[in-house]
Amino acid sequence: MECRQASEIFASYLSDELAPTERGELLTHLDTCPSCRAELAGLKEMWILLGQWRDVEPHPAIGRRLHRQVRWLVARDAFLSLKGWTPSLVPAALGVLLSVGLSFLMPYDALIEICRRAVGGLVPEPGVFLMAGLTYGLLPLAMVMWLSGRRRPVLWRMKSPLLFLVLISPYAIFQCLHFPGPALAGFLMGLSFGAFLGGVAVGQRWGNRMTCER
Amino acid sequence: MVQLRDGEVAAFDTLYERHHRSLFNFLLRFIVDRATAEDLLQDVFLRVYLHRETYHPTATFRTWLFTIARNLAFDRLRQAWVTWESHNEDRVLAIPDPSPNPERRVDAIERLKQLEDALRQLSPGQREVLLLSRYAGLSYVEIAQVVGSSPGAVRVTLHRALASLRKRVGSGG
Repeated sequence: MECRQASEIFASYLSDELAPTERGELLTHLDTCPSCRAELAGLKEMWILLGQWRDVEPHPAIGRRLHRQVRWLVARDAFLSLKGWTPSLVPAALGVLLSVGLSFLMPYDALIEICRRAVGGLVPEPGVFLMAGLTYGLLPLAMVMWLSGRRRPVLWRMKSPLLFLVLISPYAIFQCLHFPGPALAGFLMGLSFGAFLGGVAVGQRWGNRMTCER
Repeated sequence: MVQLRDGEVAAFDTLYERHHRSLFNFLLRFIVDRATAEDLLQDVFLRVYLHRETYHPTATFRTWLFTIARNLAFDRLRQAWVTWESHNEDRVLAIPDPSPNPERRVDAIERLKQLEDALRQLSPGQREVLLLSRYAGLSYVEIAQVVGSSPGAVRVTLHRALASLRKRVGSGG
């Protein structure tokens, strides 16, 4: 190996990019060439000096802000794409089953009557229906979201209650056909409010706690 | 990365935790301005998320990440119209590891200041190859992919960059 060839691969030697044979040839040449040894020593000194720069961390707020932005983008994408709705279908369907099951154990009329006795006179009549509707949305969704126990962005968490309402509406309206108009509106509003409260707020709060404990 | 492509947010957190430090230090040493480097770090990771569909597992994630970073950094240098040499005078790089010997520490700081000045005077092409090799730990093949060159050209550029630093910094004795 000549000095010119040796000089060309000094950087490769320092960055550990030489093949074993090339490395062997270079070391043999260095044994017999003081000027190449001196040149390599100088470059090695730079290489080591470069290694003395300590890495620094970016400001922690950068990471936090980035995570917030990405979570928002993930939630937005999941909300806008049809594929993103599939995972929310199972909790929504389970919520419907629980809500319907609850209505078999405690029919809508029976719970409305209990509510009327409990708060009769204190709230207007549609308010009584709202309270009853709230129960059939809140309990099932809160239970399902609690069982799923996964931390999700708010936008993502709104999908299960929305699907729940779409799926349960025909059943709920059919059961409430005999209600007067304001009472029906109150019941459906309560059902919607309960579903969102259970799915987005209450369920998530419990879900978080479960996740932390695990 | 494949998990992130499938919409798993936690995968993004893992990628950020694993790569943000080396990427930030590459950008900081390349741009020599902390605020711009932090800005770019954020842009790079946002692009990782936004362009996750275009990632092919044939390239390593690091190569892909540094390619994005390098392109953004060059764009920023072009936009800034301020030449690299006239960038702010703040010393953002010369922070040596703590040494128990105060005299040696002062010496080390002085040498690193010289090195930083010498680094500022390298061409952006030499600088990026040097930083990708020394700090990002990329191989010649990976660096060639990042900068759109060949491993042979990377080897030559790295050699020239080191020789240029050596000439400007001189011997430490």
